[in-house]
Amino acid sequence: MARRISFVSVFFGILFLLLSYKLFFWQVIKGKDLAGSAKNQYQVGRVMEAPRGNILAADGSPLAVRHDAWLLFVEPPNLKEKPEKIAEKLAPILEKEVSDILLNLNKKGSVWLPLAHKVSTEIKGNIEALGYSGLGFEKEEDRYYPEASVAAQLLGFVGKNEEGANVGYFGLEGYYDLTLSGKKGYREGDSDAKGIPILLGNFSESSALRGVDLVTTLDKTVQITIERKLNEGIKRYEAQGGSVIVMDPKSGRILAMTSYPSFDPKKYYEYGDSYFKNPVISDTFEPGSIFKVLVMASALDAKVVKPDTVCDICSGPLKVDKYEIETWDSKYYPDSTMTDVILHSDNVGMAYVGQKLGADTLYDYLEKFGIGQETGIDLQGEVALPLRKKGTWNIVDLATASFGQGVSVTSVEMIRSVAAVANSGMMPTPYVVSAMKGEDWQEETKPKLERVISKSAAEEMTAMMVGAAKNGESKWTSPRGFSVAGKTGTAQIPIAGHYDPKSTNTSFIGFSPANNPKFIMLVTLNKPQSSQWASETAAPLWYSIARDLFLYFGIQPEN
Amino acid sequence: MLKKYKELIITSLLIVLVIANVIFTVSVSANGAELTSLEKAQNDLLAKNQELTDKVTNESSLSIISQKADSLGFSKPENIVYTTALEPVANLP
Repeated sequence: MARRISFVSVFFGILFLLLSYKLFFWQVIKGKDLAGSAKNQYQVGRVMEAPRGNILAADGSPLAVRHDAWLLFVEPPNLKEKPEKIAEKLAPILEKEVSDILLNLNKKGSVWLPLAHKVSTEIKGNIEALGYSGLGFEKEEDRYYPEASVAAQLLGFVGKNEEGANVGYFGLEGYYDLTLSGKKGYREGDSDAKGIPILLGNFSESSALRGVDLVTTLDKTVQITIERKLNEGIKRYEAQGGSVIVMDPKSGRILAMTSYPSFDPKKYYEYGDSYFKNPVISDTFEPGSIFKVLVMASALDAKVVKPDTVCDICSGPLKVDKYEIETWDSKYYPDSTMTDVILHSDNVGMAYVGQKLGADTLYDYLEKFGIGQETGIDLQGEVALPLRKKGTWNIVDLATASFGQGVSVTSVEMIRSVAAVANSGMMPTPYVVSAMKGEDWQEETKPKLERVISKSAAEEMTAMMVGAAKNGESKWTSPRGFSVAGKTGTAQIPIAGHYDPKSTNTSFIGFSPANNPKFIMLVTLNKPQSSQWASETAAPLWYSIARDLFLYFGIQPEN
Repeated sequence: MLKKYKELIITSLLIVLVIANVIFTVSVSANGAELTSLEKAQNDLLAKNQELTDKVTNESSLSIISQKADSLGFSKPENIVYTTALEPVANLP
């Protein structure tokens, strides 16, 4: 009997030890994992997307807005129809090849695959109406451009990064990506088997912060006008490309900006990288004669010349070191005044002005005008080519810089510096975003202005530019009676250490009305073939746009 | 006798509390379902609002308005004549 009792005791002892081990295994060793699995069954976590901010025109109308779209996915194990049949039905709706869709539908071993991104709500409805099981949709955000490709390079686009998240690239989307993106939120709480939240359980939430809206300075009417006119101009003058920028010279507000060729931000993936950068802020060029405005304004401010100062070396070509400086049309005007030098766009006369200024003083003025420096415009991708170091300029550098050769600028750099002349010597910082709007707050951008030259020097320079517009080589295209201060620029293109003899970049910069400007505009054309001269290409295009702007801004003839 | 009353009161209180607990739990769980349904309604309304906003955005696009203006026969002003304001010759009575 005692033996039996001992046997049973040992048996129960071993059983107890085994049970203790098992309990230890599940509760201590595997305890954390099991608790996690259990938590997953009753706790539901959800990321709350932050809607991307909108980009608005100056009048508050949308330029780029958030828009609901859908990700179409397939769960191959749940497909009940034949993949071939589904692919044939989906192909015309999604505008895709049947073979491309079939490739995903037939992928073995996959339980979930994306079929198409950014499907519109309308197309989603059409696909749902087919009633195929195994197909589903997930909400995702898209960008909608009500004005299509208008201001594409200025706006930039929203693409995907390596993790598949939305990221803004180029232009405003790139520069203000963090501001536009907002902050995702997260909600976590207990729920029952049907996913219904248990209000007595644990609950935590961090709200999503929607992206900030950007109110830009862009005037849609002006923007659409310059895009249409630039496209017409490119065709008429057979140019390879071109840009137009319109700015308020008193504040630096960019009213419109465009370049050709451009791209469609909705279908950015169909274009090469070279289309995305904005030439107005990312491409440098030798400005040629439009640069004379800055050199002459500097000389007037430094009081080394006056408008009636006579050039005593303008009777023929000027020999500088081993080079000979000539005028663009090989015509020479002895006893030219400084007003005449600008009127005739006289290279020899400008070399004279350069000599009067001296290399170091000219350098200081160009630095004040912001040449060789980024303007600080709120767009992604701005570049600037620094000026040659002060103190290293030789007499040839000084002479050529005086008429805009041997220096490189971007269009935005150029328009900013000439805006100082238009704005009584005060140079504005160009900007595109005038206000940022949150859910219950708004922050306005304040214009930044900096004095570069005196008011009197600016007025004298303006008068010279008025004379150049009225009586210079582009006078044939200037509309009678309107007060315009302008200057043409025909620049040779440097290639491999010399200038391309066959092609030029042409430009025209001007503002109107001259004494109280409502706009300043720079037009540049790359390698126009119909004529190599700015007076026959960029200038007529400038005036063609200006005629529309006169009407729009209510600018009337002087008399 | 007093002890019997005490037991009765405690038992009744317990029963009332249990019933209250059951009612409260049922009501809160129903609120969870209501919350879900309200959230769904909110999402539906937001989606509808977004749809209408898209429609307004599209219809108010300057490009679309310009096309409509063209089709209605509106055209850009051409051959504009600017006139100067004439000095009145005899504006006194």
